[in-house]
Amino acid sequence: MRGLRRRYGAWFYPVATVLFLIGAWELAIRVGNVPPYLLPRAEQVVASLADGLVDGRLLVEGVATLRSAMIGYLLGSSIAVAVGVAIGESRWLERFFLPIVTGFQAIPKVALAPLVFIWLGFGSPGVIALVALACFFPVFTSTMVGLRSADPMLIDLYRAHSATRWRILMDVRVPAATVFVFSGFQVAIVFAFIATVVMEFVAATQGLGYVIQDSANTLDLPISFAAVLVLAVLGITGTALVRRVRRAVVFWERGLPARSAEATL
Amino acid sequence: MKRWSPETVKMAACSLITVTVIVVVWELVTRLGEIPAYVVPSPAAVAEAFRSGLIDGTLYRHIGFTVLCTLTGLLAGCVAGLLIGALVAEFRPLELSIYPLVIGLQSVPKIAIAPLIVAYLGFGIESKVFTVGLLCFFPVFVNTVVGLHAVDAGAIDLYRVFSASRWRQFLDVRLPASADHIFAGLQIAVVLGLIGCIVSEFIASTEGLGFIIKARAGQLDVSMMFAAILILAMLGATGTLLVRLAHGVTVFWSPTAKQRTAPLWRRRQTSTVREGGRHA
Repeated sequence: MRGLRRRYGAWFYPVATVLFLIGAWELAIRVGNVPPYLLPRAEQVVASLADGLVDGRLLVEGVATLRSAMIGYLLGSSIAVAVGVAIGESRWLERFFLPIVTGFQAIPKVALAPLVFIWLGFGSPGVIALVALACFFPVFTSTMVGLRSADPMLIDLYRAHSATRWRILMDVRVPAATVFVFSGFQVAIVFAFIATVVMEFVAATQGLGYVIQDSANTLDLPISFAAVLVLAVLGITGTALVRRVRRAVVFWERGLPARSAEATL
Repeated sequence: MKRWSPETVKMAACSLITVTVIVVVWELVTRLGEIPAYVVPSPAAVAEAFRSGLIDGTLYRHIGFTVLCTLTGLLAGCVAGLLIGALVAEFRPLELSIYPLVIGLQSVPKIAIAPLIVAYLGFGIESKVFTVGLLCFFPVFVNTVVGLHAVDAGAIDLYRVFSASRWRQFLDVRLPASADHIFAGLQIAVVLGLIGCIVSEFIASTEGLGFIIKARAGQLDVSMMFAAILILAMLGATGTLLVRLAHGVTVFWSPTAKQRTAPLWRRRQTSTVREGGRHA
């Protein structure tokens, strides 16, 4: 019994708060006589959720969203790592291209959504493109910072032993960068979902973003809420997955002193 | 003006070359290639759109609207984040209930609620301000809590030894110590706020830069879209710069603040020998 308490004790307060909020929600509707087209009741949302998952609409759209997000994420992140290593290694490439990339970083990627829509039309290609764009920059920046963070004395040691540039890159700089790169991956997954949703708002005929927007427009609120919930679950799962992978790959980070919380989004 | 290091000069020159090459190739491609103007406008067309927007003033109303919405929402969101963050950091039961929920919500794309907000609050400025406020709240809140918790326990103990009230402890020790973190949160909030405003304008608006981008997309006026996007980028960069300056000025004792203002290419650390043997 005490073991259970120790493991799950931390969950008590947040769960209690959530239950309290749901209770307050129901109470507010009942007492305030709020009409259902304004604020659906919790049971309506749950019913919509169950409906959507069973007959498949939420499932289908959810899979579409997840698919676009994942493909865009992997694409954007891998290109970012490659470009990051290239620019980080070569001083000349850096001189020519880093300011340009930094300049592009200033553009809020979601603002490009209608532009991407014009170029790539409705549907997944556009979503994947925007997600890749959105994921590129955080991963690129962290790759650059990570490569720079390599211990200079270690590099000198390698140079003293006449190691080739490639050797130094592989043995010293890349492992040092991994810590940062994976934290970039973690930021990027959050951006990926944001970009997916926004692109689906702007120009899509499928995906959870489309469902949310469409049903909010027609004031079919229960399914809108339900879609938001599904998206929330996707987001949390995706981030948790990346965090697991990170802990597995960058296993030595547990020994490092804690860095300040990466309060992202 | 400070003398530029040879490295900075090299970098400036090279990037200038790159930009020129890009613009020239772009112009050539649009002129010689068979690319219609609605796919890629020529640089001249974009310049024309800029002129009409900024000099003739057609974009002023929209820029003003976006800036207004973003600033108002930022103010609301950041103040809320600070206040609630401070409360949560001070009172443990609040922290235990609310903090894990907020952390969980970090992974959720809050922007997904934007259409619902528009459905509730309408086409006008309210929905934009609310969306911006919502997005800004989270980074500021989390960073405030983390910052307040990261305060040097020794300093607090010193104040307690002298019977300082809790309020005094907060004002004199905890707040200044957490200022670094809070400003970092503000910087994230500025970026997110702008995104929130744009997306809200995409969904439903009659003015604003996001509206321009979306509306011009409908008319395939891509050059104006480019212009609006670039103006947006400049707004974002200015906002971030302002926050960084405010950080450097307010938290003047912090080495992090000064380091933050150094651009990416100046934070080099490749070899002790090259740097003249300076190492920790």
